[in-house]
Amino acid sequence: MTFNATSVNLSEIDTADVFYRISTGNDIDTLARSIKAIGLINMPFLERTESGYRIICGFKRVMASKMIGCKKIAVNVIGSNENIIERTKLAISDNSFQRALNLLEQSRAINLLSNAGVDDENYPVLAELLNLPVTFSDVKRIKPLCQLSKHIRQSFISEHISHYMALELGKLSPDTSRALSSFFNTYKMSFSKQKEILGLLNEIARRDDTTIIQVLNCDEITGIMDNSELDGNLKVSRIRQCLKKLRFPSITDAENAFLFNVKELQLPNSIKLIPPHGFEGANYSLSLNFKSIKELAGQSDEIIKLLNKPCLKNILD
Amino acid sequence: MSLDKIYINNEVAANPLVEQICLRLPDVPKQYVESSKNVFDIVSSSDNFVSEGKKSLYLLDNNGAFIKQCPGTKSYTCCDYQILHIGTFCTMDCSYCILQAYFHPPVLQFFVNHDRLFRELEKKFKSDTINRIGTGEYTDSLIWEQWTGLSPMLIEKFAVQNSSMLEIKTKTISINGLEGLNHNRKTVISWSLNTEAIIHSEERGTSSLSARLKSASKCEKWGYPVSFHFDPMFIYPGCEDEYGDVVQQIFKHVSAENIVWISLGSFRFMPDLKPIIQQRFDRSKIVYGEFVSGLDNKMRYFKPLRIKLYQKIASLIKEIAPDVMVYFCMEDDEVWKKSLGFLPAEFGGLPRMLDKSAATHCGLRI
Repeated sequence: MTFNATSVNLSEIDTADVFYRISTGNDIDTLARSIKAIGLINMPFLERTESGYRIICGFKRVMASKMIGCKKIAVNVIGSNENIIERTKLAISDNSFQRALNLLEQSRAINLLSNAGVDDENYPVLAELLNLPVTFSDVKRIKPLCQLSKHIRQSFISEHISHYMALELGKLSPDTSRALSSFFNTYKMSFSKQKEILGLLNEIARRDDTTIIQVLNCDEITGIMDNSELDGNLKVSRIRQCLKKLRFPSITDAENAFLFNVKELQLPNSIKLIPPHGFEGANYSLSLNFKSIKELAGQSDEIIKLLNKPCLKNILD
Repeated sequence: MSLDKIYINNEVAANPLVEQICLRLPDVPKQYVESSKNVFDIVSSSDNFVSEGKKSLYLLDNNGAFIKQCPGTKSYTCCDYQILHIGTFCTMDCSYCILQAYFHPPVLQFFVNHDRLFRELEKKFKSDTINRIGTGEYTDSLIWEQWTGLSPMLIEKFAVQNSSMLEIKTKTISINGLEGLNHNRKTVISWSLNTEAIIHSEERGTSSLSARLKSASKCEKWGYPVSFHFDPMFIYPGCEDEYGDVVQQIFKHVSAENIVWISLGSFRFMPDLKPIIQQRFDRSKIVYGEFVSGLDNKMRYFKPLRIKLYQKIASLIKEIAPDVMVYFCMEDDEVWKKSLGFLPAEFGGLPRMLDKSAATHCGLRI
């Protein structure tokens, strides 16, 4: 690779041009202290543009130098004979060989290669060389991440939402994804619960010809969110219950009726009555927990009592 | 949906039926293939392989059995129907069609080794039991008439025996070829019915309800027994009244004594079908009902909801035509008892009940 080591005015470098940027981190304080103490160890690489210079790698070094008040910076300016693929390789390898790239950074790198004209056939070889994901399925999963809206990327980077959820939110309108990002940033829950909530919201909205935002803003949900007596976990739990009830009203009613009748049966904790899944089959089960013959005998008495309780008939009919 | 391509398996290139089909489709490009895999690979590689499959006609021999048992499950009451496997898939495009997920990939296949098909039938006709055999399980029975004329041949074959009845099941009105045939009442022409709203929103490319019922009326005039299938039924606001209207219309078009049976079955689907419907029919709401996982691992409407709809429709049919046989496709004893007030076992089982109705209407020996 040909390049020219030189010194340029920082004002000539377009720091707003992030075409080659891979890193998602913005913390430059430590780097700035290091440059101030011992100077720049590795020089950034730039390319010449009509109006000045574009950064290929070394974004943080340039920003840190600016921060500490430098006017000029030592750089390598890449030769004009180097094509965009070589420049892209430089931008990626400067990051990918010094640390493990996070998924958003991997996404930027994959898109950069794609922008440089690397096709599906040539990608795997270059990816292996640059320490990037190689398989087609990984690329398909990772590539869209950096194209998502800023609020989704932020929720993802701050680990409020999963990779799956980031991609799902990316399919929604900007207003909807913003509302849901904000919801998931506010209420901490497992990724599986996020998935469940999004699924319920989406299906209710489609069924009722309304929008996810309108479902999220319905009185029942906002009532839970505005209830200052509930902590976050309880709010999430109630919101899930509420959405299930909205999505599956008859099934929820049947489950509640079953629970009511089971409560009336006053079974001891060691005996559980289990309904058929979805109340579809005809077979109910009794689960017994015991440690000794004596305990089992006690449960046998409970079962005989159970047979005469009218609530049992209500359940089985 | 018009055809884009005809694939012809090399093995059947010399079959006269292939030439006959190709002559009826002169403008459709033809391609000879070594094996089915060639066709499946081409169809599978399409982003919308279901639509691609509907536009790709593949002519080949059936190397398996032509007559098969309906793939029912032991958890629900099955009618013991037999399928005459003439081909697969459909040119119409119903959102709920299970064939979209049943075949991998779904392709319009038509089997051309009819010599063996008829030999299998001859053997079946000699059996001691009544056989209820239909061509409309893996495909619509009458979509093929424009190209093949198979149904008239089958009808005349069934006409000269008395152990088996043929059920031709369709959503089309392609009945012209059925007029004037010597059917000897051994063939039942049958329509899948739904409400106007469902036909409009979920059944792309099918005939309207009134057209189907007018066709049924014509077939009755031509002496055929008829039957109707409310399957799949959908639960949505106002559905009970709308299905009730369809029931009323049936009896305005055909007389009750010519109806061999009316079946009821609610929408059920393999979980794999849901994303296909969501992707291909993004405005369809049918997958957003209250479903639970059934004992056969298919999603089904919550049972009390099914029973409520069945009760209403079954009682209306019984009110208008008390002697018409009404049965459920793949339901359990609880549904039968609560919706119709009896269990099939009380009458010797569902297959026996259907055999009896077939025997009465089609003149089969019992």
